[in-house]
Amino acid sequence: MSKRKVKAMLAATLQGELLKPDDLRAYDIFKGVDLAPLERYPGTIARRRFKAGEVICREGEGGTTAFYLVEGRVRVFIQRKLDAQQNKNKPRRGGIIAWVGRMFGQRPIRHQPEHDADDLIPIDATVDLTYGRAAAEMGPGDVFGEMSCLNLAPRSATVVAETDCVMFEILRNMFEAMQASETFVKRMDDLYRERSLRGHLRNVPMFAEVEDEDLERLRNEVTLVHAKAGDVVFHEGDEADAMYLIRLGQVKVSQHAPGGERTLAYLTKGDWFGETGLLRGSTRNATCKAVAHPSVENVPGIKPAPIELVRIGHTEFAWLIEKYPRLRGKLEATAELRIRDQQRMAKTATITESHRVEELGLLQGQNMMLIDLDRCTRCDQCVDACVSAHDDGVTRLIREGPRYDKYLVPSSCRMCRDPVCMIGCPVGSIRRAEDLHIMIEDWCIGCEVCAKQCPYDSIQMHALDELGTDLGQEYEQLAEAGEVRQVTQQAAVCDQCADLPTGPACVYSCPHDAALRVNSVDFLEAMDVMDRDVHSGVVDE
Amino acid sequence: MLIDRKHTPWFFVTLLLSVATVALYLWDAPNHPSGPAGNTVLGIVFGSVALAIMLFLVALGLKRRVPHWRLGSAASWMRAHIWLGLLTPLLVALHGAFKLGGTMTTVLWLLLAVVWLSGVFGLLLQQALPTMLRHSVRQETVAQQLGRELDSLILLAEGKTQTMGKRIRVVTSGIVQRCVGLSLHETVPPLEGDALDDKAVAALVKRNDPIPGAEPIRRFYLDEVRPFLRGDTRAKLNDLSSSEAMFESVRTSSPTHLHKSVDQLETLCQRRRELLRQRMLMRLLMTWLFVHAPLSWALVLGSIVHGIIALRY
Repeated sequence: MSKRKVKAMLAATLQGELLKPDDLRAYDIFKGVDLAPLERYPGTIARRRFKAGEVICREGEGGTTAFYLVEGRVRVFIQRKLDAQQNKNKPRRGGIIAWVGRMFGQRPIRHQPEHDADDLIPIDATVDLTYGRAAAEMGPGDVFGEMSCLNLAPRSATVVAETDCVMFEILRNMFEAMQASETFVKRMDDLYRERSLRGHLRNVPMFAEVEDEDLERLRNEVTLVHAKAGDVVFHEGDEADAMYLIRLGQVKVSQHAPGGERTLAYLTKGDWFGETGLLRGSTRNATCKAVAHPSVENVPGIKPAPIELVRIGHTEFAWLIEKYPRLRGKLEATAELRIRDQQRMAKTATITESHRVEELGLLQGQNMMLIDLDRCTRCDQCVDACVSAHDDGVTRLIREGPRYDKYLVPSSCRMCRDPVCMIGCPVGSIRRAEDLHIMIEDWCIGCEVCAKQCPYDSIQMHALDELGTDLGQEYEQLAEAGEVRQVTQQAAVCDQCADLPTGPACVYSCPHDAALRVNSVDFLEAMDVMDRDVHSGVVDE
Repeated sequence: MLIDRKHTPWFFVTLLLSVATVALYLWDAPNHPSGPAGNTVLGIVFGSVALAIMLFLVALGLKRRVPHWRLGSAASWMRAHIWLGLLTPLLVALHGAFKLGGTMTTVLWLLLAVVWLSGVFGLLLQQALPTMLRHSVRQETVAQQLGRELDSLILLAEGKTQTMGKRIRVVTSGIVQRCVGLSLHETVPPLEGDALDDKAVAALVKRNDPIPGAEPIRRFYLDEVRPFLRGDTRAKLNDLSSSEAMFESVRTSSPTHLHKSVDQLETLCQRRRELLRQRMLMRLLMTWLFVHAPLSWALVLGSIVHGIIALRY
């Protein structure tokens, strides 16, 4: 985000009744909070009143304030593609050819994975949504918009007053001051422990079978940890003494590799890490570091929001494992999977000294699409195949991009070693699948953060015509009145046609053997050879 | 499709089939006192095989409509298409005992010849044109964007403007404005579209004080660059060597500090030439299909009718 834009966003003024320190001291939440910034910067907290049905903030829109709910109740929700049952009346596309294809089991890829109803959709609030019902209620004492306020991230959800409400709207400098207060932090921790922690723990698959009373014990015994952006939670090679669950912010998981660091993943709210070392009684096999949101990273004068973690210590972990022996099996399987992924990624650690390769970002690609321009007749069959292979009819491939020798590197996800697109999603809808491809969940709110983050223009925003919410009629009334902003676009990224037995449709359907998906190890080695050839004048660059 | 080592098996299969069918024909010929013909057993077999191959060949067009179906990779289909397509005229010739036959079969022969030759022509083009395209166009764009990209060049030169009542507001300034000092902030008659028309540019040029030394560039832009960027096919800048000479001459007659703008204008002209070349080569790569594909269907339908008539009567 540009400095000017950040400045403009921070210069926002509040509506409502501007408050002075004396107005706030009566409230529990402000007890122990240094209100001096409010003296210095009057107008950083306002009391807002909303009537029932009024929209407080809208998903995807820019926001710079946090809200503390004083009285009343609000409904928080996101728009998303509703499940097949609700779309069952939608006519199927493709006509008779598609019908014949379906008879013979030829189906396009369902572009989003299946989910359980309990799967968590993280939002910027003290409550979370679930895949089964992407709407929730909040009441007095709840806070929302913290990440928008501190990180200038887009609003992750729409909030509508369910009853007449009173709330405090807080600007960044005041919210930062509040966060510096131990009392405030403790209150927020208690609130989290009381309202959300249980859901977060339950959402970790390995705790799914833990009985309620044991989960309750775990909830009381875990430690809530606060870290600054850039803090290392643990280093590769450290003794494993705890596992962590992310409550707020993002964590980068990386490993040492020849020539530098290799990013394995960016984890976000609701994700967990550190269980492998605990389970195996070994040292850490990766470094985990708290990262800043891209909107505020390297912006002078802006302190990135803290990263909040739930620490499950070695003792609690061992107790759980002992009590639930089946848990060990599950954990072993997860750990095995993660190690296998790490080993597979380690194979791509071929380092090239070619500046050209670095310039084009080829080094990042773990599975790059290339088009041999000496073979390609520019028939666009690859693009047509991409459209045809996905049930949303959106191409993930644009046949444009930089060239290296006779190869075109088109705009299509290359499964980066450092997938920076995953940083900063306000609803955690972008993630890496087990086979390393990047996927975008259907609760994407179309804020474009990932598309802007991708250095290779490989994430496309596509228009949507049909979205809904779990609010039904209530939402329709708001939408008709123009009160809620329709989510009009979602992000799409190449999924490598992971569900197609034929492999990527673009490659499979190229009649000229021009489209390639290459293993980066093999290809970068070839690139090095080619690069030497370029320098010795054998081929033109 | 490039003919490479992957085609070797197909080459040998086609060669083998050709030799085998000719040998079969020669072995069978003495059995027919009036000479081999399409109505002999072997003649019917050759005809049926040729028809089956033709059906397979046109099926490639259908397969393209369902690119991700698991029917084999498109490249394998294309290899089969090429080599079986090359074999077909031989089978048809053996079927008709190297005779044209009646009117219908003559028409079918004619269709086959055009389809076969257009296919071979397309294949030959595919051996050379992609590489030519790569070398001559440094930065290609997708076909759908070509028109827009060509239109954008004049906007880059002159800037983008918007009519606001009787005034023109500059949305983005162009190379020419920056170089020769054409200020667009003055009141000029309202204009349609984004780029300025000739009349407006002439009005603006008259109205503004020229930047010292920019006159040769201004004149060159109005006389040569502008018509070229607007699509004048007779413009001298269409030719690379003329273009280089003309720009060199403008550089010589203008002060050094303006050379950067001249270079930028030259890049725009070069870009236009490349895009035009891309369009021409891409059309060449595709146009033959407009003959090949419909006539292939006509040939298949005609052959089916011919088969039904021949077997029935």
